[in-house]
Amino acid sequence: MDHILTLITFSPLLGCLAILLVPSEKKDVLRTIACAATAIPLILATMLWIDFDTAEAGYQYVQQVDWIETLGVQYSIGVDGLSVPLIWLTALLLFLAPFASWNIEKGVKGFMLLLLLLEMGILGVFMSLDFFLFYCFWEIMLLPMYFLIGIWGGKRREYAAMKFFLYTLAGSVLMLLAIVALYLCVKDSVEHPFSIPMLTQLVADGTITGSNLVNGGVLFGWPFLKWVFVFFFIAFAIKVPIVPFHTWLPDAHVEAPTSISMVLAGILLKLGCYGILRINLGMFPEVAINFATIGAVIGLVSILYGAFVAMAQTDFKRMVAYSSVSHMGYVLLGASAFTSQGLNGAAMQMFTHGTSSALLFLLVGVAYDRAHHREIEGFGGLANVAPVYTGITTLGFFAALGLPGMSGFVSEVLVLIGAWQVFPVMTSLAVIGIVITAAFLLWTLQRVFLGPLNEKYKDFPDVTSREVFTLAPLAILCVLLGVAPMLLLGHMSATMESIRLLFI
Amino acid sequence: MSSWLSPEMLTDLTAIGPEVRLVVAIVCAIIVDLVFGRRGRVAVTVIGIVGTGFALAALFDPVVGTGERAFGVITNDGYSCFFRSLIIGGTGVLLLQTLLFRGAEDSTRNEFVPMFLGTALGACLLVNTDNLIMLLLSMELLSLNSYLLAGWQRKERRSSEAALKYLVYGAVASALMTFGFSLLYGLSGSFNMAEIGQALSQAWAADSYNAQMAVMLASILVFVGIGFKVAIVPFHFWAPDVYEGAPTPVTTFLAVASKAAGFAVLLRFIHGVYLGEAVNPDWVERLGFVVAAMSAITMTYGNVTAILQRNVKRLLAYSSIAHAGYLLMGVAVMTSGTTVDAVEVGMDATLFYMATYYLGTLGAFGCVMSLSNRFGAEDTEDYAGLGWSAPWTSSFLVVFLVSLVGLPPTVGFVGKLWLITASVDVGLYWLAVVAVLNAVVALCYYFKIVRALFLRGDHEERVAGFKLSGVMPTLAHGSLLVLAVAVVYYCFGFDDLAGWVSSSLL
Repeated sequence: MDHILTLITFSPLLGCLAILLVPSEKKDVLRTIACAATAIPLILATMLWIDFDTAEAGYQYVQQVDWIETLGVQYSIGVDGLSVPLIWLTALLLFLAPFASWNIEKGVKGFMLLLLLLEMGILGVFMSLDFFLFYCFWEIMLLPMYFLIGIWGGKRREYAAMKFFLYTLAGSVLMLLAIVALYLCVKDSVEHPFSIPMLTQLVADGTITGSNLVNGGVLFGWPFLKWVFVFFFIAFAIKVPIVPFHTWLPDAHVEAPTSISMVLAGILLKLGCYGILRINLGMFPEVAINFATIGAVIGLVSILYGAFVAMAQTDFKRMVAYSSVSHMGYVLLGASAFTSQGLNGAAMQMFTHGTSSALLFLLVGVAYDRAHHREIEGFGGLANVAPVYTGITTLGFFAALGLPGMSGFVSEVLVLIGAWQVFPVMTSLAVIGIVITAAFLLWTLQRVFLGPLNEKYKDFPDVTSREVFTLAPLAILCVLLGVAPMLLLGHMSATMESIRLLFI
Repeated sequence: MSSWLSPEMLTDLTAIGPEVRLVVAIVCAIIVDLVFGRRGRVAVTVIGIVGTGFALAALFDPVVGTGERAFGVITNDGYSCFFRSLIIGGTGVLLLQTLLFRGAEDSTRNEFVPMFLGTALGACLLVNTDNLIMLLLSMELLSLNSYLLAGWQRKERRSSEAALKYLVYGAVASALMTFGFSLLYGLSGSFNMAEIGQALSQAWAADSYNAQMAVMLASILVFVGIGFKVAIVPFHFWAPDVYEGAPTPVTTFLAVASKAAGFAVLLRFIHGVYLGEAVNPDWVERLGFVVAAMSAITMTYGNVTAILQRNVKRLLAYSSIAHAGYLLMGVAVMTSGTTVDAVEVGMDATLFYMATYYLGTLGAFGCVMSLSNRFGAEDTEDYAGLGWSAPWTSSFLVVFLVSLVGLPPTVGFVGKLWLITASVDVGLYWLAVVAVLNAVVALCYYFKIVRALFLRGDHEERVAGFKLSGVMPTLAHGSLLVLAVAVVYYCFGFDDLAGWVSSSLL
């Protein structure tokens, strides 16, 4: 178990090597290899989940090797209660992705290769305990994503891929500046100036004030650390995304192939939230307190704006994409409250949205594969011909709109309870978001599945066994976590409690 | 060895061993060309490659790079060794890649190789002297060869236009620089940079209006000359036309070796004249601000204009202007204050960035050469779908372009990290912000090429119009593989590179 994190991160590379050796005509072999290669991290991540000590708040399975002497960079990885569930979710969704992209015919070799590289990048981000490593993984992830959207996407794929890349890069270069500034603060005094736990400790001690960089630690009227905080926040906020940096999201989600939309919504958005919880809150609690209200307002705006815009969509996939903006608003609202329920709710919302939105994108993909369009108005009465599909979709919608007994309910209630204690007015307004979400999801359900059958689709085939195989795990998770949320919260609560204690 | 050489003479000759070997290679190439004519094309190229190999090996001689002067004007320091290995190594790789370039073959006369080596010789001498006369002579050796090489494809109108444009601009810049040198000599009575520096700061401190004006005028003239050589805005106007029109190997040489040599001179000049012992803080501060402003303008102008380009070589020309801006960032750090620390940090960052830029640009042009030769691709539109027909070369090109943007996992990221760290360290925050935002702009146009390669086209294989097979093209493609691996490897294993750079500072 000592090297399990390294194994999880780099096992997809083995799959890459295997895929490179297979000629590109043997598509089924390539797909099988990709499935096998993504199964390895899933198995290992499950072992990690079981073996993980839930009572321990700090980093576990830490591995540190000196790496680049010139900058004091370490290969340093570790996990805590915040990252373990996300790592498992990543491994699960990336395991389902090759199955969900089975019907991709062009450039299968390249697709699977990039998918595995993407998995390595994402897993690396969740584990890195060294900023240099963190930034490398963060950026490595962008390139495969660019190509996956850009080559295998829909009609406006070039535009969507470039927009995604530019937005994310614009944020991450600011993060690079922040990292460089922190590095320069400590480079003469410590051995490993990029180490995240060490920097966290030094910020908490008040050792890092930036006074060795700027006079008195104040730059353009703001304390040095405030600048660092803001630069990190912008980088993560674009990834979340929050309004007004959200416009890349609907484009990227709609144009990406089904499996990639699933990964985008399921995991990539969580990277932003993960960064906010880990870096902005975990590292700069004293600055974060000043920004709590702003964070909550941004969260609230995202909730309401995302829900309203989702309601106005005529494109099935675009609607789901905008609902993601709304759902990610809860994470920000909960995190800004700094209460136990709020933080736990935010962390849980990340996971539950990861399962429910991935499920919804898969379901949209099923409809698109058959009808070759995604107009909500263009369907109708599908329940008559595809009962299983209708059933799973209904379940996914209920999970997304937070029906009691489903996973979304638990996380949203936790967020609302947590936020109520601090921001009662904003929380009351956020409830409107739930109502609207319920409204547009049920309305969509009605338009697509109920009513008289659209004659065009009287031969609409029900879901195949391969599709059920991809849908079932996510659907089960949606129900399971609604009934037994402690399965997840138990892993998270110790770490989230340690973050909360920073604010007392 | 023979007794007619005195021991001192022998040591001096060994110190310029790399240059001597280049001369030998030039002579051999000319003789083989005379004997075999056109049939000797490959042989002449091989002689050139072997010659650069020997010249590189000569750099490891214990006498080379000790800092012991040779012939009174050759500095023979680690700094010059750094640049000489870049120049000679780059020339070797380029000669290999010339075999990928069909354009040169059409009208090729074999003098191409000796003249190419001649430019390398000029560049090597240029980075290896702190004497203004020597500097002027070697710069003319470099320039005159470059003018001719730029117009090598006689039947191509663009090539001739490039040569003429380069010649006219270059001659004016040389003339201005020479005038500047003569003023410097008048002010100091010396051709040695360090001595000039002392005389200038005395002249400046004397607070006489005339003397200060003369110092200023001389400095401006010299900077214009060097600024032309390295294509800094506003002395860049020649670059896009020349880069587009010249044969691609020559374009590459101008973008890498010529630019490296120019920056080597710029750094040495600033270091010797303005940052010497008797330095005047007031003077350095003004200089620092001008350099920082020019750096920001150059990188922004280069990047923004590159977005509008369709021709790939032209696009890379503007990108090389932008990179000159990044390199100037390091110079701005050097001149940001008078602390020894700032000078060291700035020079370290500049040299490091130069090495990373070198790898990326050399590779990118190599891929462009191979693609344009096989598929006749000139504009970004012509690249549509080539990623599926030439997956390896295209993938390498993506790696090099990502490095030029400055994203991990490529060495270009480390180069940018170095520069940003240096400028934040000395308090040039605004320049750091401009630099990182420029990376986002750079993404727009570098990925125009990537987009065409992989996102456009119908995924059907295009048949290469011209097949490259045989030992030499395979070797040339192999060199691209080596460069691509190096670009990725040095992102994570840059300890050696950083150590080499920091031991090569002035």
